[in-house]
Amino acid sequence: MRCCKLAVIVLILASPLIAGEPQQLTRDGQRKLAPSFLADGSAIIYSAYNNPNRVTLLRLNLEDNKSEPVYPDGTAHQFDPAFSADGRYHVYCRSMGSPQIALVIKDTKENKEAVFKPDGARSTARGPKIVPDLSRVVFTISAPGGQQIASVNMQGGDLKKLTESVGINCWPAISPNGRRIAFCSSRDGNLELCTMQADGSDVRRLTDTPQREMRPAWSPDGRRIAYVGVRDGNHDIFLIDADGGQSMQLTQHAEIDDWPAWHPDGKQLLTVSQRRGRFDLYLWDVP
Amino acid sequence: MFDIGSFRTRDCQGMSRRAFLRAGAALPFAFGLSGGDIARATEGRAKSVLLVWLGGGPSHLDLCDPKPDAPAQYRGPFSSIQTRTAGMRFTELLPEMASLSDRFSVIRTNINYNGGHRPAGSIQLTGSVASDGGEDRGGSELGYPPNFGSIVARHRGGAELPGFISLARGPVGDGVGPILGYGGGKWGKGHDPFMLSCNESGAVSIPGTKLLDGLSPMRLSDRRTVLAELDRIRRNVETSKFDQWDGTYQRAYAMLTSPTATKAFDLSRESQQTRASYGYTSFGQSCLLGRRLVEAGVPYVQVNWSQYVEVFYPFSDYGWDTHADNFELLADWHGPLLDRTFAALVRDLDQRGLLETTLLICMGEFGRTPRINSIASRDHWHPCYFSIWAGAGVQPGRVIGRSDPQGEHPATDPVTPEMVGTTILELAGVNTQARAELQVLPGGHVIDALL
Repeated sequence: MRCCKLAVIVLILASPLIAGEPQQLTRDGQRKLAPSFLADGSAIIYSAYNNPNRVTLLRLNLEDNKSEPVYPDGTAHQFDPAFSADGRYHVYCRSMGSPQIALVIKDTKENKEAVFKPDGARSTARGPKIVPDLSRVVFTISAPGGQQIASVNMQGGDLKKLTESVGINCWPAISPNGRRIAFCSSRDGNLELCTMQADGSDVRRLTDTPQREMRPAWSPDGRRIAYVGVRDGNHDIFLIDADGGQSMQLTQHAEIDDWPAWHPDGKQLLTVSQRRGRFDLYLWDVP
Repeated sequence: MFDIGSFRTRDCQGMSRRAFLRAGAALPFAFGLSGGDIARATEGRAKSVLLVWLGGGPSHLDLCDPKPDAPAQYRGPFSSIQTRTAGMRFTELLPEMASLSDRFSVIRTNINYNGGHRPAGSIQLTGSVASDGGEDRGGSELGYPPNFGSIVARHRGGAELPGFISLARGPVGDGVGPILGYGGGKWGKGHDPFMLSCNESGAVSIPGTKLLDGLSPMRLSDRRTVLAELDRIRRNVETSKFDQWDGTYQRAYAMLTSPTATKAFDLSRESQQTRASYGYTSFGQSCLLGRRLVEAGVPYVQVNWSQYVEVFYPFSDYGWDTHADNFELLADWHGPLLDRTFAALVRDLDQRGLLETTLLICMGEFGRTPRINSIASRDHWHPCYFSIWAGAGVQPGRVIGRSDPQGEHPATDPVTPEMVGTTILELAGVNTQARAELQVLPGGHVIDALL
C-alpha cells in the first residue's frame, strides 16, 4: 500500500451555500451519467439510460436544445465520453460481448479507432480523460491487480499503472496544465479525494470525511476541484482549492446532485441532478 | 396509463406462430383457476405478499451487512452508518432505508444451495432443488415445485385479477434463459405468473404480447373494440392454434378491461409527489404499481429489479450481477435507486396501513463474495446473504441472525429457502394442512424469530 504522502487533510467544514437556482437543460428525466462540455461550450456529451437495455452517448446541442445520439449505429453500451480540446480525439468506454468494457479512442482526423481491452474477460476500463498535450489517455482500469488509475497512448498501447494501492482508485481528472491528476481512493478506508503527479507520484489526500467523496472535476483555471460529497446520505456538490485549502458547498438539496463538469469558461458547473424523482442536466453559476 | 401497442415479429407483419407461442407462454394463469380442491382458502395475516426481487445477487457486505472491521480485502470502500435498529448498521449507500429500519427486520443468515443464478433463483423462489437436475442438467420447469406465488394464487382461488403477477420486461433470468422456478413448475404453465411490464413513465404493458394495433387506453376500455380486434387477428393465425390462444386472450383481455384492473394499472391516479417519491425509473414505478396491485387485492406480486441478472451485457438491463465494477455500480446506480425506491415503498405501505395486511420481502438469489476478487469486484456467494421482511405480523426493528466477521458464513442458525417459503405461505394463509394437501414444502418450518 502506498501511503498518501504530504497529505493536506482538510476536515470539510463547508462554507455557506454559494449557488443560486440552476438552469435546467434537459427535461426527459432519464438517468444520465458523465456529462462533459465540448471545448467551445456549444454542446454537452453525456451517457443516458435511454433504453431498457442500452446506455447511449448523447450530444445536447445548446443552440437548439436538442439531443441526438453521438454514434447512432452503436449496438453496445457507451459510457464516459471525453473529447480533446481541439475536437480531434473522442474517447469513451464500450461494453463488449462479455462483461468486459473496453476503452475506445477515436482519431477523427485520421479516421481511425483504437481499442484498449484490459486483460481478463471481466476487466473494465472506465472514466477516460485525455491529457492536455494529447499524448495519452488516463482512465480507471479494473483488472488483475485491482482497480487502479492507468494510462495508455493514443493508439491504446503502452499501458502504465499510475497507482498500485489497496482499495479502489477511480474517477481521474487531469489538471489543465496536465501536471496533476485528481482521483478518489479508498486506500485508507472509505473513498476520499486525492491528487497525484501525472506520473503517479506525490499522492496527497485532500479530504477526510466519514462518508464518500466522488468524481472530481478540475476547474479550467486549475485553481479548484469540484466533486461530489455525500453528507448524511445526500449527494451534493462541493468545491475545494486544488491544494486542499478552502472548501465550500455548492449545492444542498434533498435529492441527488452528481457528476460535476465545468463549463469551459470556468464560471458555470454542469451537474446531473435529481429533482422530483427525475434526472436531468442542470447548469449552476459558480462565483 | 395502460398501453397495448403493435406487435411485430422479425419475419412477418402479422401474428406468427412464434409470436403466438411466446405470447402464450407469457400469459397467466394463476387467475381463474379454482382453489376448490384444497383446504378452504384462508388469507392468513397477509392478504397480499409483495416480493421485491433483486436478481443477480446484491452484495450483502456493501448493503445490509457491512463489515467495517474486516480486513481491506473484504470490507470494500463504503462506510457504515447507524440504522434505527440497535446493533444494526447498513452501508452509507442506504441512508433512507437505515432511517426506516424500525419498520422492517433484516435476516443476515440466508443461505442457498447453488451458486448459479438460475438454479439459485429457482431454489429461492420455490424452496426446493429440482428433481430433474434443474438448470444445471437440462431439466425443465416440471422438475421444480411451484413458485411460492403460484401456491398462494392457487390457494386463494379465482378472482377478478390474477392471483400471481410478476412485474418485469419478460420472464426473469439470465442470458441463458429464464429461471425455471419462476412459475407453476410441476403444476404446469397454467399456474405461471401473469406478467406485466411497467416502464420509467409508468406505462403498463404485457411483455411480448403487443398485438392489438392502435388500441389507446380509451379504446381498450371498450370491450367490443377489443373483441373485434381479436376477431381480426383470428383471421391471420392458424385456426388449430387459435382456440387455445383465443381462450387465453379472452380471459386476459377480459381481465385487462375490467374496471378493477384499469384502475389498478393507472399510475396517473397517484399524486405527483407519490410518483416522484418512488423515482421515475422502471423499478421505481413498478414498485408503485406493485403497491396498487396489493391495494386491488392481488394475493402475490413479484416486482423484479430487472429482467436479466447481468449488468452490461448487450441485452441486459442493469441487474445485480456485479462481477466487475461492483463498487462504482453500487455507488452510481444500484445503491441510490434501491434506497430511494424501497424506502418509498415501505413508507407508502406503512402510511396507508397496508403493512398490517401485506407481507413485504426484499431479497435476491444470493449475495456476493465477501473477499474482493482480483479485479476489485465481487462474485457470486450463496453461503450467506440477506433479506428484508416487513408487515403482516413480522416484528419490525430486528436483525435476525449474525454472519461471521468476514460475512462468509452464518455464525448463527442459517435461514434456508424452505424456511423462507414456509414463512411466506404460513403468513399468506397456506397453513400446514393446506401445504400438505397441495404437497408443497413438506416439513418446512417458519422463521420464528421474525414473528
